[in-house]
Amino acid sequence: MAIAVHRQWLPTVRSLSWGWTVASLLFVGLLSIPLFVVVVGAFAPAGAEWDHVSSTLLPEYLRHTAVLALAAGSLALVLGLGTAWLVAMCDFPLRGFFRWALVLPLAVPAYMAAYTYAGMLSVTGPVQRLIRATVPGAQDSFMYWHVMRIEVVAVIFGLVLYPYIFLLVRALFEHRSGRALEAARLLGRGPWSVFFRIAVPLARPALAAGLALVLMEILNDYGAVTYYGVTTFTTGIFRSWFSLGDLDTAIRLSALLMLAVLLVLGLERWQRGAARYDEGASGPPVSRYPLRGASAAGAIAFCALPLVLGFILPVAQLAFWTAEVASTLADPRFLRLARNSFLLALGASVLCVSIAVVIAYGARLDRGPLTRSAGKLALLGYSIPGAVVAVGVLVAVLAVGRLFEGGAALLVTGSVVALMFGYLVRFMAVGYLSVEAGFTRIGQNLPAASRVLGAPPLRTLARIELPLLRRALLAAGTLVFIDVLKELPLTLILRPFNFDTLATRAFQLASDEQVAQSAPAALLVIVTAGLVVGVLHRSFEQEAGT
Amino acid sequence: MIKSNGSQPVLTIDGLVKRYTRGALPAVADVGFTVAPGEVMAVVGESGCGKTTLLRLVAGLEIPDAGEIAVAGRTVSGAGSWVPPERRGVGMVFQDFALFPHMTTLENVVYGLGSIPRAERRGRAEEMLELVALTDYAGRYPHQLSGGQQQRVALARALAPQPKLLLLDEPFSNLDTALKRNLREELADILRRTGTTALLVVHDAEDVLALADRAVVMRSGVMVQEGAPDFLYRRPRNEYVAHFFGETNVLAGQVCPGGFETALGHVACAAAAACRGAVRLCLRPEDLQIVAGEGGGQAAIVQRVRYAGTRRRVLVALENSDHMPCAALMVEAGPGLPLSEGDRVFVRPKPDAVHVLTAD
Repeated sequence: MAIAVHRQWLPTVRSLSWGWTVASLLFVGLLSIPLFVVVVGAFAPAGAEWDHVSSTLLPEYLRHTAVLALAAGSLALVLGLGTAWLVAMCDFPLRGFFRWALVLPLAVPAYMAAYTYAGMLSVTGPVQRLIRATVPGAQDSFMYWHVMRIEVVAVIFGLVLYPYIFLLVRALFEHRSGRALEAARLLGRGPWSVFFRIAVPLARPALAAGLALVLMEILNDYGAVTYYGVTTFTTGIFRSWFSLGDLDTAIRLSALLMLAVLLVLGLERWQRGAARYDEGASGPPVSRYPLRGASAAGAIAFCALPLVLGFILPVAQLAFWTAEVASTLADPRFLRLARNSFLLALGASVLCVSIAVVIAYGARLDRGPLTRSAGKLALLGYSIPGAVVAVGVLVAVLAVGRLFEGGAALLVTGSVVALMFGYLVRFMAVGYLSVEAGFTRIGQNLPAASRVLGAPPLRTLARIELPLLRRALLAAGTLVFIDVLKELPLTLILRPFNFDTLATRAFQLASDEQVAQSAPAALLVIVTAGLVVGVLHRSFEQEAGT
Repeated sequence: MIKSNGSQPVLTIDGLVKRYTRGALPAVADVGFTVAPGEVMAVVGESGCGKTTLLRLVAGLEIPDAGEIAVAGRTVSGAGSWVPPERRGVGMVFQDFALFPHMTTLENVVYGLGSIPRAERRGRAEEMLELVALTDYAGRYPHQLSGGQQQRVALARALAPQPKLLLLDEPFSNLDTALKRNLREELADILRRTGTTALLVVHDAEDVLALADRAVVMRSGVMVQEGAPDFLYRRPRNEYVAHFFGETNVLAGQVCPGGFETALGHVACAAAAACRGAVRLCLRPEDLQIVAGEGGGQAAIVQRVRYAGTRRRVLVALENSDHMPCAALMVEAGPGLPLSEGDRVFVRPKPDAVHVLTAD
């Protein structure tokens, strides 16, 4: 039967919930301006300064970035894969504790861990003092070891970033490939063979995804590398803008850094190939290898290592310093700082989640290709380093300023508006993904039932979707909250004059060799983030369990 | 435009087309039919035949690529207009019931009563709960109800705003068989008592026979046949419809004077005069009979006997079926004759029982 299909554009277009679609696209458009600006700016004719940077500094940036990526990435892989395998597939004392505690290093921003290690390992620090006091002959001056080196930064990155890999691989072992691992055991394979022949190949997509996250964090970092004097793209961007006032070079470096990120993402995609992250059937829990005696002790030691070095030691050092400067805690300046940070993070998370709801609901109502790809565009900011986003926002704001001359521009640059906008660009993905996942869990039928019962989209959103999204919104808001609390490079570039957050204050005090004074701010950030990471991890587990 | 005549249909569908991906086969292709006031119309077919898509198009949950839909004489889709689901005046019972989990039974029912004065909403909702015999469960949340109760809440919620048309998407697929039979009777009763016009999507012929006044059979997005359930049962157009409405035997036949030549020998049929050459014939199990002696029947061996109450379904293999390929036949037998596996029996069609399948 031949059927003539006339694509009737008029009814299709009219049927869209116009307001939502427009709002959704508008927000996405607004959020992608900074990235667009960087890309466009990179094609402008280069100045003399750029020639100097590209010939002398760029090779060094590249070399340092490669060393960090390689060393920290390998360490994170070994730690993440090893701990995930032990916790998911082996039974040993303290397994249940390690299962959630191994996530904790995520709460420690790399730059804060970097300050503590610089303190602990410095020539006058406790470690070297202990060695000089106990090891004979270590008193000789040439045994004094200089801590400020790139290898140390790489190790610190590995120690605080491995949980990305740990979380993804653990979930894979526990839920998705559990049956395959059991089948391999039943076929008579020993644990090492199962690990290398089955588990590692199965885990490859998760390993790659986790590694991509680790690398993006490394590319994003400014605080740790600059403290250790390691020059990278981000330090280059800061040097160009703050020391030389050379925005063009900053844009160019930003574009290159963006290219590096896209390369990482592309490699991850490419290696993932046909492997997909679909929700596997979650049957009974996987049977685990019981470990006893020496092997149990070995497992405990392997899990304890990253936990102690990546969380307990840095936090202990910060707590020690905080105790030293305890008198400053009641200082109104510190309290104002804390209030600034928390209000800013709260505002950003509320705004971010609200906009995420608008974008995601627009896509949900429309389901057309346009809004759907718009949603994806909104995610891009999260993979782009904070410094790059900041440069993009800066250029956009300056352009707007030139349009209005004076007053209006000052309103933007002189207030937290630009900073808030930067946070939204950078962290929209965090809010959006949680909200979208929440919508997906609700399904299409409940809103459809509401619509058929006479409730238009807005009423359906308010009465049905939002009440059911409550948990997802809370989770999204909390994640954005801690991300903003920890954020450093973007805040440093976009904050108004004389405006400080816990993160920027900690950074500045540490840079001014007042590392003990920086500890209370750092500790407050880590404790807050740690609580949130712990609580969220628990509640997600419970949700998955029911 | 859809023309309206004297007794206006509650639902008119004309030339409806929906494809989900450009270039792919349409999920619904050129479907059109009407539903009269008070009528219960069923849409049936195997899973993936487009019947649920059709229902969602009527509800306004999907946008058609072509064609028109009119509810109670008002065009809700097509001819340049499209009315969103909340303004179509249709009710819908979803396959998974789609009860709002954060609202009580009563709140669920009240939700759709936005158009009546606030003071009257509660009373109306309570009436509806009485109709489905759930008055005592008004304060419960959906997860505290059984599957059957949830379905009744969904029905009460959909009927509360007094929709012009009620849509039911596989209303029994989430219920177990024992429960299903009771609920089917209850649903039929409620639809009759409220005089509801309904469009019902089901995949089980039994549901059609028990509930529907008329049915549309769909396959691969296309309407295969439309008619009253007993008509579809007795006069299927093709093998798909025949099999859909219960067990059936399909025989190849050659036209000969006064009937057809088949594996069962000569079968008399008045319709043969209008046919030519090779045909396919449909014979229900009850259209065949087993006779003990050689009374003009075809010899066969009993393969299997299945009891269904007092009647029996007997699978037989024809002995001499070389000249016409026909492996086995399903025959219905009454309680009289003793039958067991391996018995040699004789099978013959009842007079004028054979039906010619006219389409593929």
